[in-house]
Amino acid sequence: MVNSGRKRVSPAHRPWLLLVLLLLFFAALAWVYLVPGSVPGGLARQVDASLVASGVSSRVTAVLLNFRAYDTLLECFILLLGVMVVWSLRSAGTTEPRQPAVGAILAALERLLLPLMILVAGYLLWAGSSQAGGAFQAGAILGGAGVLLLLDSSPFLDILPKKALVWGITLAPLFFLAVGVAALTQGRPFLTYRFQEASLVIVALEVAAAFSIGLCLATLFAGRLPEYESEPAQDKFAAKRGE
Amino acid sequence: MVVTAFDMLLCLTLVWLAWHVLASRDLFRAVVLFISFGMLMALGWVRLRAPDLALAEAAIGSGLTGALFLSALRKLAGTTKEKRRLDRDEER
Repeated sequence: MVNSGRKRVSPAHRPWLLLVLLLLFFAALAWVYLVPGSVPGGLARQVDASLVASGVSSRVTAVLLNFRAYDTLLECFILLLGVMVVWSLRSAGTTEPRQPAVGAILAALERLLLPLMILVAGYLLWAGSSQAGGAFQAGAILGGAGVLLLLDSSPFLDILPKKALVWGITLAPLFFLAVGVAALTQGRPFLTYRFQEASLVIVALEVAAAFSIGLCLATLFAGRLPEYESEPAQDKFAAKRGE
Repeated sequence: MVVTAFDMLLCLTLVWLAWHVLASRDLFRAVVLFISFGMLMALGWVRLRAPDLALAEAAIGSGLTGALFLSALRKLAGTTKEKRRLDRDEER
């Protein structure tokens, strides 16, 4: 500690500086919003004009899964990346077993809430094509149901076969890619749908996305690679060596 | 008039909550405040007539992120920012 005679001052030690910066940022945002003419009309008109061709009647879903499906594709991959990072960090964290559940109240809550959550997720998924809702919201509810199960030390992620879990997590990104590439092979731009199929493709994508997002979020909360018994693999090698 | 007052109150509460999330020394308190921030933010999105965002904010921004923060907090040894900062400084 020879070279650091001066005390280090992090932003947290000077909260007022942070507040001033925040207020300046807020003022800049307010200025952009309040000065007339600085905000263009937005793309609402274009969206409304081509809504009929999108296959769904909800503007948000039309943007997310048709006009800007590319963004949603990347979001699915980012979630997948998050799970991969968490799994690769497994050794960094402590893998102590979860504390035993708080017991009866949580169990009763689970019994009441889980069916309701699955129902709500399904409704949100379906409602997404015409009103508020959609894959991410439904996926979040499913993820919440998974978290609730994990809180009760339910080992549902450990029981799930590894292959099923990995396929479940990668289902949405892979399906998205497949849809995009299928469009390419038919001579259309990446991730575009034919008008007749648009509705069906969007609903299928949403179902896959909600499922994968829910599984991804629950896996993220578990925070580690599920523990698999390594016996089968060893047995296989042992059998090979025996031959 | 009442609606405008409600909006003003909502905005002020959001800023107040955000400030206390950042300034709170107790991380558990910060997480709880963050969850309440997310809930009020969802209300804000409803007021801005963006129900999709409100749903996503309530479910992901508040619920799941809050749960993730809480589980991360359990894995951290020290629960005050100062203590962990001191530990980190000592490591250097």
